[in-house]
Amino acid sequence: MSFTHLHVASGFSLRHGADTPQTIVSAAAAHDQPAVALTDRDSLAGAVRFVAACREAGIGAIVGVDLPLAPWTREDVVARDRGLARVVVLARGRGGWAGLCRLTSALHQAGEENGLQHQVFSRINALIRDGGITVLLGPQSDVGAAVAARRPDIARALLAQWQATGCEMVVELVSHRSRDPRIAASDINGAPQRGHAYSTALAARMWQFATDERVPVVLTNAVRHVEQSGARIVDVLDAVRRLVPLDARHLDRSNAEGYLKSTPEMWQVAEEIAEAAGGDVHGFASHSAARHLIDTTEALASRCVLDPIAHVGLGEIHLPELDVIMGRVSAEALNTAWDRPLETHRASAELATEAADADAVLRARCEEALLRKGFSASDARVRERLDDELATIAKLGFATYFLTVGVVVRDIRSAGIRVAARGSGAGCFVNHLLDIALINPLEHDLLMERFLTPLRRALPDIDIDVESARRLEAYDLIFARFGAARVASVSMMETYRVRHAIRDVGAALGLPRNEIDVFAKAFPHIRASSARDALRELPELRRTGIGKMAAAGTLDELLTLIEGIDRLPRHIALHPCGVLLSDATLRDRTPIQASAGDYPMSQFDKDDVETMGLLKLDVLGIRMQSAMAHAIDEIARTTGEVVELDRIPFDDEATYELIRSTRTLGCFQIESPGQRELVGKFAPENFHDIIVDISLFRPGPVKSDMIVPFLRARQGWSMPEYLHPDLRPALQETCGVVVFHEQVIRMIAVFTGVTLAEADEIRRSLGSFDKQPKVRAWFYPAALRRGYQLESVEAVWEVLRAFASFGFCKAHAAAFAVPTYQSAWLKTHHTAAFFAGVLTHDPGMYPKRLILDDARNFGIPILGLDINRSRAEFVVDRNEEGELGIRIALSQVKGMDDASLESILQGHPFGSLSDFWKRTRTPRPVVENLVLAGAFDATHGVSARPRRNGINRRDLLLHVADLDRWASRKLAVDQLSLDCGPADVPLRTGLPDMDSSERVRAELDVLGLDVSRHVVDFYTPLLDALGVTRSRDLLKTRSRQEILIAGVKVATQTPPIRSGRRVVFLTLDDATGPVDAAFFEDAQGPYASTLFHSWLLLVRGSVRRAGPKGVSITATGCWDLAEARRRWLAGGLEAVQEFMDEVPWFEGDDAMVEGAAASRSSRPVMVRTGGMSQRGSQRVLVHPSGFRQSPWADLKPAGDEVSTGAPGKLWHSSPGSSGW
Amino acid sequence: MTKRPPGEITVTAVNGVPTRLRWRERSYLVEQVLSHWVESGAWWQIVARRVGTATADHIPLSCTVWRVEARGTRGSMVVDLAHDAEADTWSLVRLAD
Repeated sequence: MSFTHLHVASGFSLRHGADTPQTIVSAAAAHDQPAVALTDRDSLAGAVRFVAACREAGIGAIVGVDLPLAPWTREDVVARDRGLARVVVLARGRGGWAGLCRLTSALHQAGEENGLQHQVFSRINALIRDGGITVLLGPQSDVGAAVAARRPDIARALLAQWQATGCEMVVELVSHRSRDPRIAASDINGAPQRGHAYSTALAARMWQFATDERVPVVLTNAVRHVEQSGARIVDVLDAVRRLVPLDARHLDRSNAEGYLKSTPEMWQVAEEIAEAAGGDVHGFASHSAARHLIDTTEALASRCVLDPIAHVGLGEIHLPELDVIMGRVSAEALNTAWDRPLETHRASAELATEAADADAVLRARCEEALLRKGFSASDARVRERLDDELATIAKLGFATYFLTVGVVVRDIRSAGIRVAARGSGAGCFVNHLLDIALINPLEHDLLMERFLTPLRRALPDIDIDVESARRLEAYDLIFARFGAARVASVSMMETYRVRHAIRDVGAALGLPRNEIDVFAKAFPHIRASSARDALRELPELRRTGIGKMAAAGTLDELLTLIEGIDRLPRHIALHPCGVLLSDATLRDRTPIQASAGDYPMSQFDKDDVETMGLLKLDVLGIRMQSAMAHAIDEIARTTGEVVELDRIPFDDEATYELIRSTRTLGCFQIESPGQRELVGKFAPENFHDIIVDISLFRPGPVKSDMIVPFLRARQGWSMPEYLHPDLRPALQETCGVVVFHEQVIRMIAVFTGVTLAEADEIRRSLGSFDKQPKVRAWFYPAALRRGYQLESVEAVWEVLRAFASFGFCKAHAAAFAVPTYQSAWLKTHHTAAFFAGVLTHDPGMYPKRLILDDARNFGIPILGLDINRSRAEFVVDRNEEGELGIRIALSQVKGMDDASLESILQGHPFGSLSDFWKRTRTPRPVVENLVLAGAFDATHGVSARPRRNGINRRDLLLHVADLDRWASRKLAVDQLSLDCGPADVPLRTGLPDMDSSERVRAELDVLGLDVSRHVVDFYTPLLDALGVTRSRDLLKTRSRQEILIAGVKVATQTPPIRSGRRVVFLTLDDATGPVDAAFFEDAQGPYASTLFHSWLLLVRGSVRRAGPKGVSITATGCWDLAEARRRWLAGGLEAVQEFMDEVPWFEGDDAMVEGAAASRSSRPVMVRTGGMSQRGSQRVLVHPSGFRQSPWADLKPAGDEVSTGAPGKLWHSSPGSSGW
Repeated sequence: MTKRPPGEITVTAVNGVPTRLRWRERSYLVEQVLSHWVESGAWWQIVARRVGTATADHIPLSCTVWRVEARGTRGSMVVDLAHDAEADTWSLVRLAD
């Protein structure tokens, strides 16, 4: 006997289902059921991973959608949540899958329209050529509701309507053994409970109805959770969806019977229904009737099982048609309505011709580019490379792919938007010829095989960087070229994190709001499944009341619920970069819904899209590109010079000098503390060095094995060592050290004689731990056969094994090196314009105020906010001496909105404050902010230094008050008055001027920038008294010296670190430059809270010197600087000393992280180490190569709310760049 | 659970179906199962109460209720018996003569 569940909701039924598709599949397989269905509400987002999971588990996959029948708007969803009638629609065969996709798309598009109902189904059915859909009319359907209401006449009429659509219909029976209200009006607690649709009695009546109407019946269990205990999660989800606390009235379910029951359990249900129906059903005795019910169910199930490849189309590649790429199809034809059938079927002969044409077009374009770019047509190397690549592309049939990307890039560039490809695609010569990649791979010795080989028939991955500010324009261009029928964006599912899980679970349980808030905010942004561990391990949580409750076990049930919601999708969102390009079959293969900005969005995420074989182009908005575009515009505007940034040669010595100076704040890729340290030691001299520098900055055991030997050889401390003379050509560029994937490929090829393409396959296998033994078993004999000594083979193997997963792709680094060089070039030669760009678009990790200070340190005049000279963005402006400086932007002003900005820019110039007031509609608070930040200083002659005579900012504020009062009186009283109105000129009121600290305070508050003076300047007396070492003096310190540093916090980072403990890197700005310090785990505990929550810090640490430019500080304590100053002012140095001696109480935890890699798998494994007690142990992530990482690395540190006095969030906190 | 007829009840069940019960020191034989269904418990009330304290109270997620006709020496009655599967306890919910 067998049974197949046909009605199952997963977590992709948002806030309705409690388990993932994977869990469902595993459970069905464990029950030995031959197949299982996924029928999510309104969505196919889970379908692809479901089908893949079924394939892996060896059971059949059935896919359907649970759809609402009534008009469906956003308001409806909340208000009518309970009242919506629904049906389940199952797909049969390829046509059924296409039909489901289109049906789901139609549902989302027609959301606002009325009468969606059966018309949708009838149109869909006409579109389906082979296979089709089956509709299940269950207790939730309109027919079911009529039967429940004892109106068989209505039920019959509705059924007739359904049958008129021509779709296959069955009646669905469900029994959760709910209480029939006729039997008991209230539940066991005495509470009145609504009768529910899933009672056995109703199921029996529906069976009778179906028999009378001669419609087949099937049995399902309307599953929402896999285990019975999942009912709690389901209840929480219902409460969350309805935005109400849990209460019996709000439950959707009447009991917990809606789980994935086993086959015997379902048989029992079948028998109960049969018995309740009496012996009259189909004329069978009840046992036989039950058997008949199950048989019909299984018969339908077997017809609905989908073949992943033949029906769903996993792995099928569909590229846009050549005619579309070449612009030969009209706009109307490109934008057909969703429901008009497209002639999508193309004969294989037609496809073959098109492929040949595409190859020809691609070759023609490449040849033309060779000439245009000045390559010599007779250069054998060029010729051979081009022919090789074109042959590979032709063999794979990917010419259209390259032409597609080529035309996209060309369209974007023609619109004047900066664009460049990133990734391994830079290694492809064809990409360079098509202007997709700026780098010439021949010049930099990059390999095509790393990007594309005939051995992998998967679409290569090309990512395109565009200016962030114009990214949507780029999207529009793609839609214009290919049409809405062939383009869609990609979605992503936002899942629960601890904070959301706590808020939702807490609200559902009716816990007090402010308690929930505190609880939620204490956590960093981590996965909900890590909540318990975070409470135990993170020092800043363990000490709190919540941490202690968790340790005492009184939060267990709450935490179980919170962890249960983890991994569940919260809502579907637009992926910020992914774009799908396809031929006309797109909407037959993926469901589409609308998204923010009205871009049609596939319900599949980026992994599903890859599984399906769809062409996905990532169009990334890069702020540095916008910053550089702005800089170029400013250069043209202020000096008339036109800079063609993509044409500048890569050999400017001054640029490399700047890079070597490590004063690279604002530059792409090389501004982080780690990178500045590396660049300081490395001293790059040319473009190739930049490529190497970017590649060296990797996580893993590489620091000691890669960076140190390389730097030593490079600086001449040791001779480069080569593993073998035959490897010298490949490793020469990096002094014998293996750095690049391309080098690994070459090494394998040299030592074993395989082709580069085969070598790349081997390299990929080396990245997964379980494949390594197989590769080893092949490598040794192959190398030995070539005559290499065992010693060499072993040495090479060790290196290959370690570096395969940690090397870096040189092509990727080369693509990145271009904007790195370009940004450094701009900073060198057009410093003011560079800063204007960086300040406007904020591309880097540091807060704007630090960048502004860097500009100051470069000697660029900083020109304050000026109502007549400031623009929306930061721009270059000349000061009184005619020097190029940076003018503060109006958009920085707190509260400034687009409308006001517009009116200000339109109204230039303004003669006075009252002129401004009259002619713009700027709200009063914004005007006050403008005054406070000094925007009207120039207009009214307010001087930079506080003065006793003359107008000052406080006078101007009062003037604003006057103007405002007059304006409102004018509005209120529309009659003649003897008042002549406010003075046009502000009066001197005698109020004292704002002193410099008040000005800076106001600037920070209004602009987030300390423009007139650096914030730390006010602390100079204290810093001098304490003997704090300033950034400019760091190079004078000695190793092991204990020093104090202080400043404004500009960044905290928690990158992955080899030993598995969490390290926090801190960067302070002390007005003379940045200072970096590292907090290792033993130092963090008592200070973690101050570290994350304070803005001005005083830090004690010991110095570590490494070379003439290398200084690093290991921190041993940190204190709030503002508090220290208060103590100092009150009680002198003694009071400060006392303050610093107070070590916050801390429960010491010195569990050593031992490398206990208990299980080695191909993905990092979480391991508990360090002690017998569960509570005392720590967790470590172990990578396949043995690299150990703290699970809390790569997470955003806590403390997003500002606790101590910083106006707003003025620093950067992140996982940081990997590699230190 | 509130509003229950008083007294401990012991139930013998075969395959989950009650066959005998003992209440107020009298034995009854289950003659007929009139119907049965499954009900939900308000499990969340306990979780909310339990945050920060340690209480041993338990509200079941699910209860199966059996409406049976039971006959004893003094005649027969119709009772609702509730079974908490997680804790494996029986209670008498309702009584109708």
